[in-house]
Amino acid sequence: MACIKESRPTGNTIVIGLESSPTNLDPRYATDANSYRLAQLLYNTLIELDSRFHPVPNIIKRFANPNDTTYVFHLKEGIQFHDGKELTSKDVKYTFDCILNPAFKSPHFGAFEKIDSIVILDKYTVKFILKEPFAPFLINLAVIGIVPKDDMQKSEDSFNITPVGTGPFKLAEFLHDERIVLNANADYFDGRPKLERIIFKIIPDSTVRLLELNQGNVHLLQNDIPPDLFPFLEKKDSLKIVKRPGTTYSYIGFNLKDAILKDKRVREAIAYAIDRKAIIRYILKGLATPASGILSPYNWAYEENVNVFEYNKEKARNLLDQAGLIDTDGNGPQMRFELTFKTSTDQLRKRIAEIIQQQLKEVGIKISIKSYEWGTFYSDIKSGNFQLYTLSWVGITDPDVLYYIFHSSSIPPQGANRGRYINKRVNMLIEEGRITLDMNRRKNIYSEIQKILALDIPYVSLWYSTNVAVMNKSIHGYVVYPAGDFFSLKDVWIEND
Amino acid sequence: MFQNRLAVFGACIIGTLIFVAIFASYIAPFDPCEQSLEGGLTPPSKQHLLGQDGLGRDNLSRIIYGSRISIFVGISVIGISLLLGTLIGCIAGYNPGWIDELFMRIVDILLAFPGILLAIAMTAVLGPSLNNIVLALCITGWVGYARIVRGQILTVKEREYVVAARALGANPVRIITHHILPNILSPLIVEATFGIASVILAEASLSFLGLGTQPPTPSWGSMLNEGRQFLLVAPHMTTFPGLAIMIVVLGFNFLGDGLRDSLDVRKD
Repeated sequence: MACIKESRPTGNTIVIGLESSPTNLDPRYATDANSYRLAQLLYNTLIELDSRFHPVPNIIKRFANPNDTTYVFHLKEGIQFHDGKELTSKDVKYTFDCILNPAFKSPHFGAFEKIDSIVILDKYTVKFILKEPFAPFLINLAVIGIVPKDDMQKSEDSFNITPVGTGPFKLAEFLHDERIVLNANADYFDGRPKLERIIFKIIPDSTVRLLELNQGNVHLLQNDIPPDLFPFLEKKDSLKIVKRPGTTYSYIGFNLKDAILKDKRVREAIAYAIDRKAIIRYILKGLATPASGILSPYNWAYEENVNVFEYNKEKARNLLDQAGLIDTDGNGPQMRFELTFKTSTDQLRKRIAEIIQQQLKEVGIKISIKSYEWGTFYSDIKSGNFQLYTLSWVGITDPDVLYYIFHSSSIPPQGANRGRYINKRVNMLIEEGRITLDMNRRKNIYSEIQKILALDIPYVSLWYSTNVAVMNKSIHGYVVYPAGDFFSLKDVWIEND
Repeated sequence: MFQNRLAVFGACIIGTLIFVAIFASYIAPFDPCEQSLEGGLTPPSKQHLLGQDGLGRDNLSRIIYGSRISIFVGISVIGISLLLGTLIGCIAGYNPGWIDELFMRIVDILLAFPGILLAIAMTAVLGPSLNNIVLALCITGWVGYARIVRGQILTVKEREYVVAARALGANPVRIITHHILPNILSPLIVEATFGIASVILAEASLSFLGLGTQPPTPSWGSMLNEGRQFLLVAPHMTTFPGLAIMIVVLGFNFLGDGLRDSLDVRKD
């Protein structure tokens, strides 16, 4: 590698390596992480989230909440779309009307279905009236960039490839699965970005991404870097590594309809038998922190005092004995029972599955690992065709996500209660949480839910992944956000030492 | 054949492979599935001659046990394909007319389709497992043998000794098994030897794509795949399983060459 010529970012252009191409740059349709992260650079939202995921104004001067079902937003004046037209309340109304129009089939429809009507009060004031109080409403607004009404009506079909927003960067080129080029928006209302251009290069293979970084063809990588390669990166003088605890939550999901796994003692035994700290230390190289629940410590609703399962093989064995699943030959080859553990073909996940297989074997549980390509795996999980599986939740902001994951009405295809978890008390609290606007009361509700979930263990909480960015030393001002957002790119500058 | 040094060398490699596969549990210094997380990616050392993998498992032991997969897939796929191909080839060759036409068109269709692509599609549909790999490789594996057998039968069945057997009232099964097959065995053996090499390579490719053996069972292809992402920090994870595949495939090819030379009657 020593003979490879290293190049630094020049001409105020930086190249960022991405694992996969964003699927849709239209914020009304974007759902995957990369589409969402790029949309943050192209558009602005009414609301953005602070470091604890509290809603704060973005393109609005202020907002008022005269009653539980009415929100009035006062837009900042003079914000221009990339085509020079001014952003006004009719654009805001148009954006959300599209999402609410069933003909558009927006995946965000569910997040905004509580909207009853959107009324334009004047050029810079817009009122949202909800059908009933809905606490996550403001936080949900942080996902949807505002699109221009006039442009959209003319070119609705091609908007995905020629998007026009108000964000700090404008799209110059979008070659699917190859590259996306963004140019600085000189008229950005919050000040012109310091960078002239950002090129996102799609490089699916992690080794190739690293070689490109090492060679200087790519200047910044964030996440999707095999942890074992950090020693190699740390030795490179031209690179710097920035780490920050993240919110991506990894877990093992149980099928609670399964004859063996419906017994809580078995689930507890599995939770006790997994040595998460060893996996974090040796496999993830410390780039994760043990998790106690879906909501990370960054979240305002995070509850610290919940039941946790520290690694304890003896406890696990006792619980299995109590459940009547006796290990007839002690440490012999005979196992108590066998479970199938499904995972994707991702190498890191497969390795972790193998460690869990070994750890559960030590308490007498035989695990058969089945790794499938993503489509098959995800379809099995959604249809409840599994016993154990492992996945992650990415980008969790509002605790109302618990409705989607654990409410009994969210069993797929309606939601993501894939394990078929049903608890009437949790149902009631989740419903209460979404209509309670008082933050303190809401926090208490979610605290109780988190405590119950930690006792019922529909999931074994594994860890929150640490976000890591590796970049050329000449890049300054890049901030690693808990959810892996790229928003700080508007403040990044290049300065060769 | 014993005068052909390369063939002898190939036979030695295959002999060693079979010996290692059979006695893997005695030869391997460690349990191939025994993890030692703190030793992950350690390069070759006195204790672990070929280093350790990402979970701290002994690479040498995994390669030794991986030979069982290669041998199992190689022998089972070629065994089944040979049987099926010979049977179909005999039926087609001995029954000119629509039966021959039907089988040969099926053969043409399967030959027109890239075998490995069909195997990938099949294992993706049926689910990744060793048995499904065997099944997928057998589906296209038999066609080559069927063609050879049919061709040979067409040549041999009008020979005097076959005509004589028929005149003496021998039934077709007896004629095929006692008079024809022994005389067409040579090209089949040569083809099967080369076939094993291709099948081992195909298994490694499918396992490399994650469609083969499931963890923690070691297979050379899946070891290559696991090592791929550590090329920069632990090249030993890919080098040794890669070498194992190369040597064994070379061994079968050397032997195949030698057999072809020594069994080819036209040579004399």
